Amino acid sequence: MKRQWRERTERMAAELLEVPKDTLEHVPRITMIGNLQIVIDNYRSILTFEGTTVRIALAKGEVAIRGERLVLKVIVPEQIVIEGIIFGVDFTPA
Amino acid sequence: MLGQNRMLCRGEFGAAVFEKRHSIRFWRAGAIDFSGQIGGLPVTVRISEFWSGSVRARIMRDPNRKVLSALIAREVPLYDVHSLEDHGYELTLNLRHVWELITVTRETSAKLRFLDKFGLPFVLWRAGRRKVFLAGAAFFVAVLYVLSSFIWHVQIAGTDQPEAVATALEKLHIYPGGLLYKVLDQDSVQMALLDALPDISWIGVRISGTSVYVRVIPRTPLAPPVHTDPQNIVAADPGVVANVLADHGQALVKPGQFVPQGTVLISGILEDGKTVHADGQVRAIVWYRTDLTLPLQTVVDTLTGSYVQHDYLVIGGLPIQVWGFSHPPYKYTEVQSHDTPVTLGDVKLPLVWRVEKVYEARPHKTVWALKSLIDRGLHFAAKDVLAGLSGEAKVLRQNVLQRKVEHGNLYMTVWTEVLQDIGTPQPIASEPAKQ
Repeated sequence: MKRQWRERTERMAAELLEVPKDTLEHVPRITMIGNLQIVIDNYRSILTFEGTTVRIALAKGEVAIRGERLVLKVIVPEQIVIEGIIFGVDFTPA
Repeated sequence: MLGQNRMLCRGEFGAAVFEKRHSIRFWRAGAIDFSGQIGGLPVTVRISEFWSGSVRARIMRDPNRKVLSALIAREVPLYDVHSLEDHGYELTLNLRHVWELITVTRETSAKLRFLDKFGLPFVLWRAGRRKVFLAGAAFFVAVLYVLSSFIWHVQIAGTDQPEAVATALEKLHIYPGGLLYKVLDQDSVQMALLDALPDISWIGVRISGTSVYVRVIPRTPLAPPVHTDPQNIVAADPGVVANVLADHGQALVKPGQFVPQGTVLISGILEDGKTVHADGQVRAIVWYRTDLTLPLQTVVDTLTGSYVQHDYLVIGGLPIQVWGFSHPPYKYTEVQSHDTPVTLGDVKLPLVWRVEKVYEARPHKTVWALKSLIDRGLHFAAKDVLAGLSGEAKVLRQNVLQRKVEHGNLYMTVWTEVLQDIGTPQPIASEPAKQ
């Protein structure tokens, strides 16, 4: 209850002050460069990893990247960089 | 850190074994790719990986990616994670996280294999095993150091007498092959050269590495100072005046006039009583008598070209023959010896190396005819007279006054008539000018 209230207030404040949503910490930021590279900030963990699919757990829900010859170029805390030929990005809400 | 590498490289732990077919490389080709994409991270990250070293590992039989998840959970940075067939994958990680990888793998049923190793720690480890290579590197540094402590090149510019500058530089230990540590700093060298060379107005010295560049600005010669002190021109020798050229002052003699020594030729005291610095040229005919003795026979030694060399080491004045002991059957010899002091670095030892060359000589006896001997005598007399004169002088006539052959010699007296400048300056005492 308390957490929900906190989240609601944060979102309300962000909308009121027109703060970009990615400044809220627990929201992932996903940047794509063409269909060649995808950078995901604020990820939680990697669920599966194959050459054709990468499923990444986010704070809420998960994201699945479909493609070909996918490579996890860099994995550091807070950021993950995937390269390859990307076909699609599917979100699954929690 | 390095201790860990060593163990790792020797393969002293369970499943983690390097495949020996992989050779050490500085960095895998393409890993540092400045032009392409490097995973969205700055290049410096990858360069820091080079300094600390990184390894490429293959994890097999891990369908649920437990190792990968565990490493991510431990916040271990990973690079270039490739998926393989048969539930395997490859990843690159920093050397300091290798033990975490091994620990994590042991907790699962996955198999770990190290494929490749990159970076400086491995290069150093490998170099440390090659003793001769290390010795070569050390030798190279030592040789470079030794060679760079010499002066290799001295360049002198801006003077038409570089030899004089080079000699002065040599006294300051600046010459090709000299030691750099003996050389003072630029400014001191500059000051010393300015003191040593009076004909220069400025000198610039630049010591750059093993080269010394010297730039000279020569002094422009000044116009000779104008003399103002009053003086007369008087006769230095008695003679008959041939011509008078008075630049300053009043000529008191005429051509054809005989003047005894000390006669005022050009006066510095003008008719109105003013005194000037008399100057000019008074040429006169002067007579000389020369007495000569010439031998009728002369013996001249010529060298045949063959010689023997004897080498001596002179210790405290005592020569000890060390090389060349032959005694040639020369009837006439001429000996030339050359001494070189023996030095050790800069220290002069009390030793002298003496090279003695004994040349074979051949005497030539010449018997002179009286006519040619008289000619020789006249020639010698003229040379002797002119040698004692300064400035322009010309022999006008010569006469043999007396000659006598006695005791194998020709005794003769020669009379030589010379046209010469007899004027010499004599200062005027300033008292008459005041009156």
